[in-house]
Amino acid sequence: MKYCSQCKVEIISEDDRCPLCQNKIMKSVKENEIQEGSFPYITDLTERYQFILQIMIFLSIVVIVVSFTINIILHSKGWWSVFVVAAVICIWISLAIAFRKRKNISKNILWQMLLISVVSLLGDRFTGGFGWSINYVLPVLYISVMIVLVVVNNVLKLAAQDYMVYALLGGLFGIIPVIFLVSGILNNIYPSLFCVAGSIIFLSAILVFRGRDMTRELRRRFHW
Amino acid sequence: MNKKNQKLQWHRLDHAAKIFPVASNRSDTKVFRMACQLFEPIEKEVLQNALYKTLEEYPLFRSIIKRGFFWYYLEGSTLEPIVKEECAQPCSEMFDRNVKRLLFEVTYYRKRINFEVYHALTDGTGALLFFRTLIMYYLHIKYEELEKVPVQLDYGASAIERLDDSFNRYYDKSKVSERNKKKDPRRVFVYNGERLSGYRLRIIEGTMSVSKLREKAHEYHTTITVFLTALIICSISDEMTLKDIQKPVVINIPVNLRPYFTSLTARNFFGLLNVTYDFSRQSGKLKDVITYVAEAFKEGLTKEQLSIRLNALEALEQNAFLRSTPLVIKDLFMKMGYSISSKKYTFSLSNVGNIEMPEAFEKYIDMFDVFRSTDKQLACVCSFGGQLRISFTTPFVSAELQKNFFRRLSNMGIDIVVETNPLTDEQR
Repeated sequence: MKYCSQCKVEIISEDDRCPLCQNKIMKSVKENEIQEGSFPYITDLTERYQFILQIMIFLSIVVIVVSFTINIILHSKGWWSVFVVAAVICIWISLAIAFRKRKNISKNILWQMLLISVVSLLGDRFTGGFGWSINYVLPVLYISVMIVLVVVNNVLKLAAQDYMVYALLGGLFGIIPVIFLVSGILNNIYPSLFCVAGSIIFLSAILVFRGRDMTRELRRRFHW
Repeated sequence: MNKKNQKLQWHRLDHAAKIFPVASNRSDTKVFRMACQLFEPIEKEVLQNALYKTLEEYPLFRSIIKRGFFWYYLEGSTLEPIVKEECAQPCSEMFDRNVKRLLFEVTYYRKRINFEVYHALTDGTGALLFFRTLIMYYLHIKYEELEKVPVQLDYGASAIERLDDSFNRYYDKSKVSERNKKKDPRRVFVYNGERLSGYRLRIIEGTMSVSKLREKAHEYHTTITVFLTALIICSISDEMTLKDIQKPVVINIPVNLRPYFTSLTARNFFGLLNVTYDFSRQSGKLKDVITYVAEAFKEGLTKEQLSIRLNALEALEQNAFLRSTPLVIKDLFMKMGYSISSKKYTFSLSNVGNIEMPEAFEKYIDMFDVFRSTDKQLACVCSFGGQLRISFTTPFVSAELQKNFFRRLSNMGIDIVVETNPLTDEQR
């Protein structure tokens, strides 16, 4: 054991400085045996990830700056570089969701679905509002999400408490195109029609086969 | 029907636990550690088996935290805890709302068994029940001579009693209107300085003889807890500038409520006692501080005083308007409330007390050790086998408070062995 003559305490340490006053410490005369410390040295794992993150941030900045520069030189085609910025932002949001929720695939899928919905609605609006988002993108997206959820569920053999909320939310989103159908703003009603029909079947399957799991899960999630 | 879906247990978070999912983050993970040092190196397989057995007795520890629409809640899981050699920072983040994982962890290093718990699951007393059982099973499996000794704590709680939400049980609606004494509007002294990099915690522990310390405390006609509290208050003042002196020092002391109300729960059940000392108005001499702290303890540690706080907080939680606010919004307000309340104390001191083990097991155990995460300054105290261990944790580079504290003790003639978690120069 070591001894700090300033603090007058014995010290268990491999260091040669006192943890209290940072002065040099000496070996205690009392005992010569080396006492084992209670804590290991901990090395960092995060630095490698940090480097990848730095590269990605740097690349995003380069892409944005370069596209603006080219856009200014060749300004005849309008401000297309704004779309580049939007795309970069979307990729960042999507990656952030994917990374943070990487341990919960169902949740991840729903968040990505939400992101794509918002982006396609906005994109549609700013590229002339032809309605491609509500005609095709959203209904197809929602159908695919339901299919993917079912597949994920069966492959990972998730328990009710791990998929139920996401399945219900996915199913409910699939009902949304009914609004497009009723309001008559669609050029092509088939994707939306199939989507709504599919989600009704999907939800009723949950209700019929997993009704009890569903009520239990809802009771837990909505306890007051 | 899937077997996993059968009889899924779930529990509301108890009142104290509700704040932790909101308040915990990388800089204050709300994780605490209990460690037990034995005389021989730990065997991984034995520890793993002991853990399985312990978990059977405390099924609540298999819970995970889920987000409901109004509240977080505990949900049973089928996850298996895996014993690992210690490889992460002490008290690293345990709760991540995106990751389904258990809220405790058992690791080992050399002769030490470490048990880390997320505070939403239980408090020190509850965790200690689990931990003592774990140690007993470990020793029971490892040493043949202990085979016939029953693994049983001197603790008569039924499985249901262990799960009790005692905050709720002892909530007395008729007494909600009773208020605490008027509050001091001044800002409390809170130390702030350079922090260690990477959200690290510095742990500085001192071990000393209980009897020597008691002797010293008796010289001042007081108990060990009061004596240590007063010493900490004085050690804080050593570092305060003249400007800081104008602000009161507040020591925040978690109090185990089980002895005051009859409860044997293994979940959270603690109250808080704040001891305010004002160096600009009071003398600051150790003797006077001790008298003052002793008085504050006597006043604060009564069932009536403790239940005032319990009732006020539980009433807030029962408020219909607050209850029906969605969690997303509640999170924001709770975060704000928490950050305001955390500015109201300088230092937090938890005394876990003497850790008792059945006699047959005692001789296999060297020492216990308790500490918890913080983004301020705090200390945890426990004792075992006539030795008392006080563990300071801090995210700050400065160890002046700890230095002052231990120097005060060593100058009184008390022998202290100090230990700290090793950090490289870059980590400091």
